[in-house]
Amino acid sequence: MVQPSIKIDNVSFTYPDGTVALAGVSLEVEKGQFVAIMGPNGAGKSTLCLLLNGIIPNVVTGTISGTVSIAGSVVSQQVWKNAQRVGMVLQDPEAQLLSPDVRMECAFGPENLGVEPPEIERRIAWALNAVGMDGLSDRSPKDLSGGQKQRLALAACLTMLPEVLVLDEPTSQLDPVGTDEVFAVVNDLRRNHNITVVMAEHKSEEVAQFADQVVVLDKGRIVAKGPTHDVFGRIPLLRKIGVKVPPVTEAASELRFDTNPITLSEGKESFVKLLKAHVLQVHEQTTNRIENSNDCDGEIVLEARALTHEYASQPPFTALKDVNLAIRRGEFVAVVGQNGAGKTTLVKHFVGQLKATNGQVLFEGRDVGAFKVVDLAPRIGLVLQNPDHQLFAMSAGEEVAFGLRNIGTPEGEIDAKVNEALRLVGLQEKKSHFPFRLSFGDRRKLTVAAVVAMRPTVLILDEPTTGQDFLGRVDIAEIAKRLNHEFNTTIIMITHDMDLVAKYARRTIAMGKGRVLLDGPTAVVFGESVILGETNVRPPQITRLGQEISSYGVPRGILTVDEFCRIVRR
Amino acid sequence: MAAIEFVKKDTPIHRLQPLTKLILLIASLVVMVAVDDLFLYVAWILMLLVWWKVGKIELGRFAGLARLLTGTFLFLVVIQGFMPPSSPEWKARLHTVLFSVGPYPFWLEGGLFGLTLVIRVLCVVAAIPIFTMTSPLAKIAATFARLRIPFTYSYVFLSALRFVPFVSWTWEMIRDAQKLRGFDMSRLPLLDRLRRGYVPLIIPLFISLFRTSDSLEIALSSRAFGAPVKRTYVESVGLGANDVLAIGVILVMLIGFIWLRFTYGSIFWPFVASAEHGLWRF
Repeated sequence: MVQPSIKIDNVSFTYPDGTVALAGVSLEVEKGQFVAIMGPNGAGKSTLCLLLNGIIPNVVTGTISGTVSIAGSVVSQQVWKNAQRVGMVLQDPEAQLLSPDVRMECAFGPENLGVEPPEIERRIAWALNAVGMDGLSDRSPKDLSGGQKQRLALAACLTMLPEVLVLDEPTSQLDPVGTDEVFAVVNDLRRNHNITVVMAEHKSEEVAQFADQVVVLDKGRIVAKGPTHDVFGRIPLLRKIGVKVPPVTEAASELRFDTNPITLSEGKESFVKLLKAHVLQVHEQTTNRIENSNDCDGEIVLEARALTHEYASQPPFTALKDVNLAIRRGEFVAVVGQNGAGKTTLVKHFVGQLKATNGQVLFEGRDVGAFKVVDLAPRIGLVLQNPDHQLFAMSAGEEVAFGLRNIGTPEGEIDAKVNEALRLVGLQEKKSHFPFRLSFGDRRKLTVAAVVAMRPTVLILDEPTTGQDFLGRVDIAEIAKRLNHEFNTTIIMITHDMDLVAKYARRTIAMGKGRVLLDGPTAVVFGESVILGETNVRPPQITRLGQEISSYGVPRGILTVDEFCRIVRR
Repeated sequence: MAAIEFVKKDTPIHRLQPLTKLILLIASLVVMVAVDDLFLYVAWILMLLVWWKVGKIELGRFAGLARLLTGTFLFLVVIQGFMPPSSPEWKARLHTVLFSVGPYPFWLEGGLFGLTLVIRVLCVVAAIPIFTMTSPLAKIAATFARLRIPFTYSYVFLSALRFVPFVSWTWEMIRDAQKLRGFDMSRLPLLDRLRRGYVPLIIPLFISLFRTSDSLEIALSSRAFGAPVKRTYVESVGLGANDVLAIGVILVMLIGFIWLRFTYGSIFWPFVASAEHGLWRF
């Protein structure tokens, strides 16, 4: 009988604070398989990953029962021994790269194990080749893109010659191309080197394309496991626990297909077959939305005029080049583009944190630079990626009140405004909670409340989806939508999540290399696949499906599954 | 803070082994402790600045380092000016009162003594970037191993070097993040700033650092850090001809400075005394 590469036998794990992270988990993975672990935040995915190389319970402690074996041997209590068999790639590229250049990063593990230098050099050459980073050995990790950093983390594991690679949400901070790079390399390692891969991941479209098996965790228990097609076929269960179903799968299910397509190519094949057979028909030739999707006629609140910004690095780096934009009151705008496209630099000018090298930014016709910090904060709010860079108070309520006091809100009005802001983000029950005891998603919502309480005219969300599960992403976008509808707040959302853009943003600005490449109604922008490709943006899967089968009369500007199923029907 | 972070360049100083630059750093320490003369300190700093020039370390970084220490330096000069050492030798040296604050005179000699202390510190401060900014961390680690310093200790030192720029970056991020909530510490009155101004910055900084150090611990453990085997190093740290030459120059200069000091005694204070004498006569 073939020995499984990984065997987890009835494992339960409880953290010292009493949180039960895993409860009776059993799993077997064959050698060379690619297994994706999915589930909402807090389901136990990271705990499961850290069990595989013994970090849990030996470094991160708690109470454990059951056994974990790799290739027939029980995971050792000496973590360094496990490191030779199980490579680990973490979510944050910055926190796991330990050396000043690529070569030394790859050498770090085998050096710790006392491997002879000539052998280490051979392994470095092999590993860099395997992850497609030949010729970059002298580069500093700081100079690599997000995708390259994660590929380097993979190479650094490979030099220890592991049988198993474990990746804990390795693409959560990457743009679509960085994500593709990581998945392609991992798939290649599995195919060409027979390495077993376990990856915790939220991105269902990529999982559908590459994984052999999917394990779904919820509240520490396995609620579904099996071949990828079978698991993604369990749509009601996945929806219930908040795992994103690939849009083509949702559309096929909605239209009662016999087959269960999970990738774009499978979807296209199935839809073309049924359209040709006239089982499916296109009922509308247009989405009736493209032409009037950005019909906002409010006055201009924010304007960038010939905005250029050059960072004084060596050599100088031009992050924005001659950007001209006007944002109107009440708009919901998405800003998209590859990492380094200039999106964050642009919004830092909006809030006065950067000064333009050339050009200017105007808020309601007045130069942003002319505002004091306390005057600008209640006008333009920016919610940053990392909530932990802001939170410091002893309760959620105090956290929200902090900004209000800074801008001089009368003491008698503060409590009402705090309550209103917490209600808007759904944290009214947690007003007295200690912010750092809240979940990551709730901490993010709290930072939104802290900004929203000041009732800004413009609310900017910078990558609100980073580190969030599917429901967490939708939650934040829904809060923005509510503010936009209830208070006519102008929303600017920077994101890599094109499904959110399609669902919520009426206008989309695509940036690349510091310039505005596209600016218009979201459906129109998503129609420009070639230009979007220049900045590593891919329209949502359902939009691409519509575009792929447009020769059958399907309009090219479809944005959501609901819209698709309204237009293409039996 | 970037004044101590390695910057990759191809210069003669970068090509020297870290051991050579470590010897320069140690020699600077010896000068600091043994020489005790303002003129010799200045000469040593000028020699170090030649290393900076050859190593293409921007001189602006020296100004940056000095700016960081400005508060401490001013404190030293002011305190020594008003309260110079009270030994009989020093009492005999005090001649010139520059100004008085009420009944408290500010002594020129005391101020110059404070300045000497400042320049003394700069002797070592100026040598640090030559070591850290021109030597890759991996080579420093291999050098420490050669000196038989356990890797765990040298890694703590190297991690600290890595962490300093990270702390600085995080601090700036937090400061900007709090400005978005109308909190601008630079506009707070001094007392308010000291009393509560730092709280919204320091707490998030510590939380971020704790979280990062947790991730770092996991990353290190996952890469067999601290394995009970004899660690190897792919970096070669053997000394070349240029290193031997540079070490020779450093040692000759060090011995020369010490010889000058102990053969001729203090050069600076007699100069001050004669300058003051000249001034009185004038």
